[in-house]
Amino acid sequence: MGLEITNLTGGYSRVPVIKDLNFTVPEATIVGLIGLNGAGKSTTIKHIIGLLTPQKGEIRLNGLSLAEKPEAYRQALAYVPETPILYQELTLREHIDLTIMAYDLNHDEAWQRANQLLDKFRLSKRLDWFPANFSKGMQQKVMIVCAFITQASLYIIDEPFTGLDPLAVRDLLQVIAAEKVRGAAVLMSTHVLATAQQAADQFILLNQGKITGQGSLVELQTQYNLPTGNLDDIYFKMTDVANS
Amino acid sequence: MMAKLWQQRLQNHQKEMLKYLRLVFNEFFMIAVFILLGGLAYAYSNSLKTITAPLWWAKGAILVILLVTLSLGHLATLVENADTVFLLPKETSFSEYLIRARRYSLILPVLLSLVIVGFLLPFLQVGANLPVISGLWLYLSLIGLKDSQLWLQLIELYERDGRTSRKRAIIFYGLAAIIFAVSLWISPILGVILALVLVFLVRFSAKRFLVGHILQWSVCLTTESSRMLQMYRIFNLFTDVPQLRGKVRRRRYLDVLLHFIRTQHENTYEYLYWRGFLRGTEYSGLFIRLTVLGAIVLFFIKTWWLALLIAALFIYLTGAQIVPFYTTYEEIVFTHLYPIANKIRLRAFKQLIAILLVIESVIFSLVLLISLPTITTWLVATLVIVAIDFWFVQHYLKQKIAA
Repeated sequence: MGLEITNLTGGYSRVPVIKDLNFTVPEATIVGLIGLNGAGKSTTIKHIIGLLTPQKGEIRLNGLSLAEKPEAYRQALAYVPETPILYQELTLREHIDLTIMAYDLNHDEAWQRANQLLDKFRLSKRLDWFPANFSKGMQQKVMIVCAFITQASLYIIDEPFTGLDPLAVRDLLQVIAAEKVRGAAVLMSTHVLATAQQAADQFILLNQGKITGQGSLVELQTQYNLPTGNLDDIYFKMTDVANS
Repeated sequence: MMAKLWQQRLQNHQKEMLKYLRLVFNEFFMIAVFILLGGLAYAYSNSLKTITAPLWWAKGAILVILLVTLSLGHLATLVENADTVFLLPKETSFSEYLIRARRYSLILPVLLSLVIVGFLLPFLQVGANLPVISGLWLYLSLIGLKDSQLWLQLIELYERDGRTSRKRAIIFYGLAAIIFAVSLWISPILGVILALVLVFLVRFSAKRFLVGHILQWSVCLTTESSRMLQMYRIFNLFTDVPQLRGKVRRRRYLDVLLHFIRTQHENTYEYLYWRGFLRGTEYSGLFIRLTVLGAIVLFFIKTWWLALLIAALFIYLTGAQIVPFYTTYEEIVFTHLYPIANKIRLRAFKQLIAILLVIESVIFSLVLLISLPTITTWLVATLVIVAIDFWFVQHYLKQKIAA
């Protein structure tokens, strides 16, 4: 089922930032949300996670809308923000415990997953520290661990690759790939096009609040008439076309 | 340009202060303050009536109060972090700005001293057996000393090192003590004259000092930010100040208490709120301060209805000031994403406040057991306190959070 967005128009005030978006993020698929600064990526994400209410259109996750079934909707979704957001007063262990409680996960199973992720991201020895004092990259890893223990059906990952070291980027891609195999839908926004091209199955190109192209790399290559072009080429051509 | 800059800063500053003052002087709180002030004034006038002959310690007490009053109010420079970058080229003419700032900083102490000296007047007459007019002379000396002190604080921005600063402060307060002592024991007019001499000396040497010394921006910034912090702390007693996020301490020894919260879905917010409360210094500090202060005040009050009123007041104040803690985690996006119904969060917060108020009530009740004359009055007081706890959690809290 995954995520289905139909005719979504929205923004912070009466003036819409995103206009009439239509796209899906099917199960077991990784979709890259690509666009310039200010194209509307973050606004789109804020609508999906429910921080903003659509002015028009609909967002359905596994067939449910947030308004109808708020708890079931939220249960199905996990979010990794662009800038890490942490509780000042909680240790790393307590962040994980809190996530387990909030999502009502099985304590032992979730901790098993958590320990694997903590090992992968080299955080195991920091369990009793306050992550609020970690470096930015490490804080981001904490966000990743907390999101991926939930086994959500949709992951929203905002700009995951900036701030992470190359090793962590590789590890994150492995984790995302494993979740895809499990059947999760993944939507990630990014500027790092080379990594996106390698990791994502489909792409949504966003420009000035509108979708200017979507599909797999091959489909985009055909659409923009760049048969051997990579995502960078397509992206540049898209912005050139849109701005001319 | 410096005059204009100062004007602009002052306007912004006053706008901000006005915003907070409006929040501080809100409905319920003002009633509470008036009751407290009324109670204090009542107790003060009562105790004045018991004085029949001049007290031997009265002048000493007045001297101490005057010295404390002198320490209130600091040089407000209103400098901002960005100034170190943008105003660096204007370094030399910045003293014009600071001189304006100094003049402005005098206003608050002038008013505050007036209130305090006014409050002291009856005691001055009855306790120390001094004529009323001497109050005016004391006030003038106080203002003169404050004026000099602000000049010294300005100089500090140009030249601060631990030893000279300490020496300066000791000499200043020593002189102030001598001037007040002369006023109280010898002649108040002589005190004014001495203060005026000091004003001229300090003013003259400060102006000479400013030429050829370089402003220490970092000192300027830290002084100003710690002054603002103090101000925000005062406002924070009454309202939520966003600039003031308390520090976090691990406080491992409290983990024993936290173990009582079982890690299950329904307890998510209990888990979060209790950790936040106990490890954050902001709200736990507030709770402890108010509880201790309340207990001390209650210990000294023997009139049962006054004690009851003050106990009720402190419980109300404590609760009302912890209410904003409810929204602490709202800027953390995950609080909105968790699949948890809002009523679970509300229940957790109600429980937190209820437990805190009950702890405070038990402490107050124990103090009243010692201070109140009869068991019946103690029983009545305790019952009323319990009723107030109940009212607060069931009624007031619900209303506040809904709003």
